[in-house]
Amino acid sequence: MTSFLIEATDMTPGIKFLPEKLEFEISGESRPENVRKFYEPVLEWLESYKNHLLTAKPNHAEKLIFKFKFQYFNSTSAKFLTSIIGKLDSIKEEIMPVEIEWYYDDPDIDMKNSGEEFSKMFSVPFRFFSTPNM
Amino acid sequence: MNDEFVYDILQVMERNNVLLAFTGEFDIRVVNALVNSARGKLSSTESNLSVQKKVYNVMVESLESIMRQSAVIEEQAGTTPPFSIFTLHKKGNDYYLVTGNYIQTQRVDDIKNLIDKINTLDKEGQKKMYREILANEEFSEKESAALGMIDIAIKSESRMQYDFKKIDKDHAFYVFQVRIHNNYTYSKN
Repeated sequence: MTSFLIEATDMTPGIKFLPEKLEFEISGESRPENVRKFYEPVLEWLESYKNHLLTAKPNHAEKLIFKFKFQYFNSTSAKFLTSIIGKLDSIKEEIMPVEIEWYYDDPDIDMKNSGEEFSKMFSVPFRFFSTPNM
Repeated sequence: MNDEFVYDILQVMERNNVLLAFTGEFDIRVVNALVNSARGKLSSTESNLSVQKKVYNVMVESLESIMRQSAVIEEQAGTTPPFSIFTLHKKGNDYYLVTGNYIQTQRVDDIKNLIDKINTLDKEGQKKMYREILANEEFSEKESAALGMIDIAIKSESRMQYDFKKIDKDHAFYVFQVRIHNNYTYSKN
């Protein structure tokens, strides 16, 4: 399974999916001009990755860590983040352990709250990390 | 040359402590310029990072809402809608964000009902509504607008205000105001 990489811009987040290392990260700012156009390939990649895992049957001792490191995301992006987390939730239910790491700038309580709202919607475990200078 | 009005506008803006104002067509370039300008201005004048972020969040959602509504008018009428307006001003320590834009008359009740509903909910009720919209498979223009509005309510932690001025039988001018409280007493300037 090949990696999936997108460079961050002022309006779109950076995406770094390295399946061989089990490292997954979305970071930065998310208010794309066309949110669907930006996130659909991300969701398609995750769906292919899930299918890959179903056939590869990974070792259950391994854990998939998915990091969200947002400075900002708009409400339309939140809709697509819900789909991404839903996909991770289904991998956790059907294939292997998954954990979400949710990073937020130390005083940005709204970003922490947003992560908490997502965590209430799914069973995949969330860990929260405050960072002084993200 | 009658240039008094420019000075008058500036005086009104200074009296009302306006930090940022724009009138014109709201497209993605304008929105980017405004949010980048606000980010720069807030980082130099507002020492409370949490408030900086709140103002930024509410501003992006409000400007995107104007863009969405203008796009609907443009699509239906086939022409660019008249200018919209955005202002960010400060009263005491609190920030006020006010927008004004033309909408279709048929949308007035939807917007009123949405804001009234959100304003009556407590914080937990608003969060529940937010989660319900996110969980819903459907994501139409209406749900997208509702999600933006509920996000503004949650981040601003205040009741949103609105007013509608009838323009003609098909159009109204919609004024929206939201306050971002700043309980932090120290500021850099």
